[in-house]
Amino acid sequence: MTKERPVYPFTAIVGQEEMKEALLLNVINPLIGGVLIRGEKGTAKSTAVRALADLLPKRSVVANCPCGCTWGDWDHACPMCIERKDTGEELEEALVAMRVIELPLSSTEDRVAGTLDMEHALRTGKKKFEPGVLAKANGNILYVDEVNLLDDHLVDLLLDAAAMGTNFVEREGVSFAHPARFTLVGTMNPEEGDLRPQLLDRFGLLVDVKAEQDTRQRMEVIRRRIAFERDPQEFCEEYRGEQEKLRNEILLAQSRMGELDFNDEVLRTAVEISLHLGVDGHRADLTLVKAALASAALRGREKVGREDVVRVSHLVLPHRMRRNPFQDSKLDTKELGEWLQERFQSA
Amino acid sequence: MRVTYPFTAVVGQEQVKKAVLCGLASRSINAVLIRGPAGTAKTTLARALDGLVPGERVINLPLNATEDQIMGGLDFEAALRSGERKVLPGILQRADGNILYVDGINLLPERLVHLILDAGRRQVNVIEREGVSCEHDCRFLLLGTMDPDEGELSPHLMDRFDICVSMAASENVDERMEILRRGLRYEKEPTAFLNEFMASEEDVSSSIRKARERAAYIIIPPGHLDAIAKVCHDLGVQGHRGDIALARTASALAALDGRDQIVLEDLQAAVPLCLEHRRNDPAPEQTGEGRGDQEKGGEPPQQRPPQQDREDMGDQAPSSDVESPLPPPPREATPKDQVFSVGRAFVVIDYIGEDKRAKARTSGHGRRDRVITSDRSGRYTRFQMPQGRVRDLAFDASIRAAAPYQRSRYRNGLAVVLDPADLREKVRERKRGTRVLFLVDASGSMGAHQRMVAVKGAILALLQDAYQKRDEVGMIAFRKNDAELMLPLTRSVHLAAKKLEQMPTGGRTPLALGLSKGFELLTKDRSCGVRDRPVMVILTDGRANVAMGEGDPFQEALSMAHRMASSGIRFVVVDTGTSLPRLDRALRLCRALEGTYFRLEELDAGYLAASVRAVMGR
Repeated sequence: MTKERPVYPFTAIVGQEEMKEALLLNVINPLIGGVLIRGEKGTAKSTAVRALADLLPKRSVVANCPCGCTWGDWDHACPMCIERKDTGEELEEALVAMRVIELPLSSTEDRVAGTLDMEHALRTGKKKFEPGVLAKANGNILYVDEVNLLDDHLVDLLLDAAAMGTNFVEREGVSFAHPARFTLVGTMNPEEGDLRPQLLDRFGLLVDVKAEQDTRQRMEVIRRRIAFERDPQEFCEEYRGEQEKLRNEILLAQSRMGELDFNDEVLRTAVEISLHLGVDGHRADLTLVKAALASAALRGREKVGREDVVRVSHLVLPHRMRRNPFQDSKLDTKELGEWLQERFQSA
Repeated sequence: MRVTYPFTAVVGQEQVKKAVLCGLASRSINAVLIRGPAGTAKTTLARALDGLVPGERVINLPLNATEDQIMGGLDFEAALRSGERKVLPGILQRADGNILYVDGINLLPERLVHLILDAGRRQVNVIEREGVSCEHDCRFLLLGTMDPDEGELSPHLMDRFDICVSMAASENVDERMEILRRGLRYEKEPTAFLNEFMASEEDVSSSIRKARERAAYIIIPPGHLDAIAKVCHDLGVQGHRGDIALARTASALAALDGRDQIVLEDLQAAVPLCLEHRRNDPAPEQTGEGRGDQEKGGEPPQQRPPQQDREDMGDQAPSSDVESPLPPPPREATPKDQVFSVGRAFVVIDYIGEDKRAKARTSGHGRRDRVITSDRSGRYTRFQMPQGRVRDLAFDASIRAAAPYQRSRYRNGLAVVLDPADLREKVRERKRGTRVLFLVDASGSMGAHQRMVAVKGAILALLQDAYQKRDEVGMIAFRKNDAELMLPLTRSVHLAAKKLEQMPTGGRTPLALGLSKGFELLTKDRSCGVRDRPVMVILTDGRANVAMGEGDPFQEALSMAHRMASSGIRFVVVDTGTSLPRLDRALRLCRALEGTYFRLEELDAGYLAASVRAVMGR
């Protein structure tokens, strides 16, 4: 298998607008905290996530750093970069595209967290840290397919790293800490098991996907898929223009977002919605605002308003609503909009 | 330069801040536990302590830490270099004079929590392993956080925390807006944000340092000692740890306040910090009869299902008040199916004990959810000498074992030469759910007196329990002439609850058929790498009246039960019979299965406590 296997273009995915929006919002602002995509088999979940790779913007890193340390952020740099700096080495800046790093279900703990470099130890008798998947994921998107089937102790590792933004390794005689700030993207089929609430809360957004119901849409899905399989290169070529356009939109939205200002009304709306729906914890409030900002930026708006918060609420809140674990959590955006209307009119 | 979110920038959470400050101010308080759901700034608060008192760091103990990393072990680099056995400091040594932080301490293997608490209490860490022997000071404040939804710490570990506080998200709009505002600002311009709080951070830091000087000299008036003893007694605190913690915390509070003597307010403030996790008192509304006791005493701290049905709860109460004797046998002529709602769910006792005759305990978090795995999955917690062929090499430990002898070995260009005798094997532990199959009698007799409502409530409670322990659950309902697989073994408890809600009741009782179907399900799939002993929970009143073959239906079920008893499945029989005199059929079934027997209401963690209280109250 060659390394440059063509990836199905993001813009060629038929329908599934919600999922696409959720993913794009995260590309625009990685601080939203990722997305969990729930749905049956064969609903283009994995395709969409993998397709992101082609759209991701570049970021500035320390050249040759196995942990992908962000250039200039020395407070959070890994010990290897610090050491290189301290020994007087001239570090170089490199511009690399963000990547989608996959965490396979069968991964072992040492490969995820990183471990003792055995070869180095045997050859030189010295300890050296061998970075794992979490190091690779730093600054990138970490993708876990079937995330609900991930072993518990691996979930613990993910949670630890996500909470701290740092991966602390204390095992096999090595003690090491490196930055691990990643956007967590997971896909799962809910019939195969639940996700732990703690992990659920770590996902910024949640989307439920269903297969397209419209026959014509479904036919289009098949047609494109077959065309892609027959000649991937040509198929991608066909979509090159649209991909380029979307990439530009993302860049534009990113720069726009930096200038977007928000007022107290936005904050108040976010808080009121969370309280009204009985959402646990404060992460929901923060994510609501961040997602609203990204969403407004994506739509080319100059101001963020209450409607932006309402629009993203169905992505941010369903998985955070105080749950009886045995109830479906559904969010009625329309009802919510009306409630807010009333609430702010009376106030 | 500190880069963490400032301690004083955390909005609200006064109780938790107070707890942490006490821990920092007093050298004799060495373990603080913070409980709270996800997203309540537990981690933020803990990290904010890094460098709050200059020079004192937060040392992080990650969940992947192995035992030798925590305790310290042989330094193999030094051993290779000079053949000298030297200790490589572990996390505990690094924590000396600092704050040791464990995020999700309830997820850490229990024995590791033990080791840490022990070292913290003795303020010294004794290392006797891998041929090294040494000890070092380790005076640290252990700060643990946990989300109770992920499972509780066992009570004896909990008791060893001097202070335990709960953290909840603020419900106040303005406060929440302020939290948001600060969070967003910190993300955007961290440096400016940190500068803003520099002065207040300095204030806190200096008050901690002043309090430390004072803490050792705080006077506790005799009257207050009396009060401490009394309040601990009144709240039913077991042991003396509570009393001592209370005195220490009150002293710390006085010291933080700049006083030399404890006043009543200090005690009042210290009680919720020290005794909330230790109290063992009857809830105030406990009076008299069993029925009321059960309803109130068994009230779960968690959410209740909204479907709960007031009028049905009476049926779940112990039948101490004499009801009509046997309910009329269900009429076969009018087999009308009914779907009962789901009754009240409660906190379940540890009903699957490791030993066959598990004693009913009110706190059920034993070790049934931790398995030592024999394949290569799971968390590497420690190493051992291999038995037979080495399958999962603990490379680090093997090198350490070999290191001191390297000078005398022929190295052939290698840095390290391993001898077979050096090899060590990994011990992996894995939190793994048990397979639990619910075998539910859904026949007409279960419909009598709305019994099914209570049964469904009980199953829901058991499902919730399974959810926390990551069990795999399955459900088979037997009624009429069939045993239907309602739910194959799955980890989706959500799905199970849905099926439960829809489960119809009515018809006759093919007990034997149900048993054989359940047995088949649990024995057919043994492919998983872990030798686990699945559990079959049978909820029935035992009134079998449909046989698979000829002969008496109940005798048939019994003889089948005898044959199943030695199959490695653990059986739990829950007698759903309600009326007096009880028929002992479920009990006889249980004996045949060599299982554990409960009456339905005994599963309720609140029930036992309540009935004991009722007896004592008289």
